[in-house]
Amino acid sequence: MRLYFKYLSVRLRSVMEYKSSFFLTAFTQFLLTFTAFLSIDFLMSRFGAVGGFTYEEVMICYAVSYFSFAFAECFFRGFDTFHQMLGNGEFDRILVRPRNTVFQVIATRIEFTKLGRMAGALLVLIYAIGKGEIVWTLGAIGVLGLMFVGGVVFFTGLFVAGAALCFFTVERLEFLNIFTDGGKELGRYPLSIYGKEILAIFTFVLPFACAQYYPFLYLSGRSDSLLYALAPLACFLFLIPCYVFWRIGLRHYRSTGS
Amino acid sequence: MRPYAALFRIRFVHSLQYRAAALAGCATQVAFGFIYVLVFYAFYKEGHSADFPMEMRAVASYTWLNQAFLALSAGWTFDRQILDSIRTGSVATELCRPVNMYAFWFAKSYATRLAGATLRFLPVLAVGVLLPDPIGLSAPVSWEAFCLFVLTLFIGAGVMIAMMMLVYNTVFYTVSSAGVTSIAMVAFEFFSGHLVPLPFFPDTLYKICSYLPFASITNVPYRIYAGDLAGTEMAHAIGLQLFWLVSLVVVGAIWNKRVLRRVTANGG
Repeated sequence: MRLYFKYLSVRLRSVMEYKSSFFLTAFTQFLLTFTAFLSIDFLMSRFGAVGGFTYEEVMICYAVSYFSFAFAECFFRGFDTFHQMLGNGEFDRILVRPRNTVFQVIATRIEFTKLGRMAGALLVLIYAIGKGEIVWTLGAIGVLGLMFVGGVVFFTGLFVAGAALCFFTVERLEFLNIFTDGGKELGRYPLSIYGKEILAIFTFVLPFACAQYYPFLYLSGRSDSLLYALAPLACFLFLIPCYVFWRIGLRHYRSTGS
Repeated sequence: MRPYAALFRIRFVHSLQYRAAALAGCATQVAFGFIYVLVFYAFYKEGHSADFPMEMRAVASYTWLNQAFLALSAGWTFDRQILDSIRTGSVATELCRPVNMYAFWFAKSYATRLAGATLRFLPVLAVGVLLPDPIGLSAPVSWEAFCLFVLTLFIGAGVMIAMMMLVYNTVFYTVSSAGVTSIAMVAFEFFSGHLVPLPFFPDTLYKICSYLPFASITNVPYRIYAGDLAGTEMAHAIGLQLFWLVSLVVVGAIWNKRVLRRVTANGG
């Protein structure tokens, strides 16, 4: 962990060398979350509710989805851009170091500009909480925390699986965006509004609903099932096949030679 | 005119080679088509359709057309070659060519985008057609509307590229292109109606946005196809498109000439 903070501070100092570029990029990341929010606002303020969820409730779902995606992008970016590491031979350097490969992939890429995105999502969350439709007991706060953690774990799992695929293809596969960006975009609304099939896919195949939809039912008082409240933990189970896939990929690794 | 036509043809054929990338693109576009359409369908199912500023069918057609022709209208695909040539100074070499730089870049950008769209649009539209009524792609409302759709699609792409050229011009002043391009990206995505069709915007904002050049890109052609934009309103929109195309090209070309005149390339 000490080593990680060392990496963190090195990364931070290196981006601070280009301050104006950094702040401008972070600001556009913030704008991106803002326009995404406006796209919800235009519809929600016109129609009032969707799928039995109020505007404020949709805001919380949006914040969970966008924040956890941005968090995963910020700190686990190494997997998302793993094809570059493979392509330019950087991964060979990682392999010869006496440290865990996963750790090094995580630590060498930290994308601080995504803080802009997180800030945007967080603002929306604070606004929604301020509206005060949900009673914030200690348990509720805990569940909200779990939702964020589950979301981060889910997106990280996707990044790891995508990176594992790169062992076989070297290229980054654009269709993976369907799941990562697509999951984030679907997550702007409670996942149930898209119909049963989509909800089933995002429960049993890609467990994003376990982080976003089911615990939210508990949070908003629609259900008092403890199973729903603890559903985000299922995202950790998702991490297992992703990691196994990574191990398989790693065993198949052949350097590009550059 | 000949060198530009030749460049256009070469670039077009060259870009047609990227078939694997196009296939991946198709899959992504289809998925995002679903994501956008299902949001509106959720509101529609609940009986909000009376408050819809567009018919559900029109929204669905709009979404599928938008995804199918995304390569023509995407605000986040800048021409890396142009940006890099400005940054590295290799633009100086290009200046040796006996061509007008603006027309040269314009033709190149248009060809790349058109090739991208040519490779992608059929599979995406096919998926759209196969879907059931309110969420699928409907037939164009009339033959006239279809012809005007094709026409305005091409004009819209022209407006888009003319605006991109302004972005390239500004890169001459800044060292890094990241700032300008990313701001432009957000603006294109939002004001063109990519996230939400413009009629869903609040009234005042919608009025303002429909006068901006961004509205020419996706708003005009797809809504004409769906029959949502018709009559005098449509005539105004097409007129506005032509106005933006001509004025943006003229401004861009003059500006480009001035910018190139003050270019100083460092040796090395």
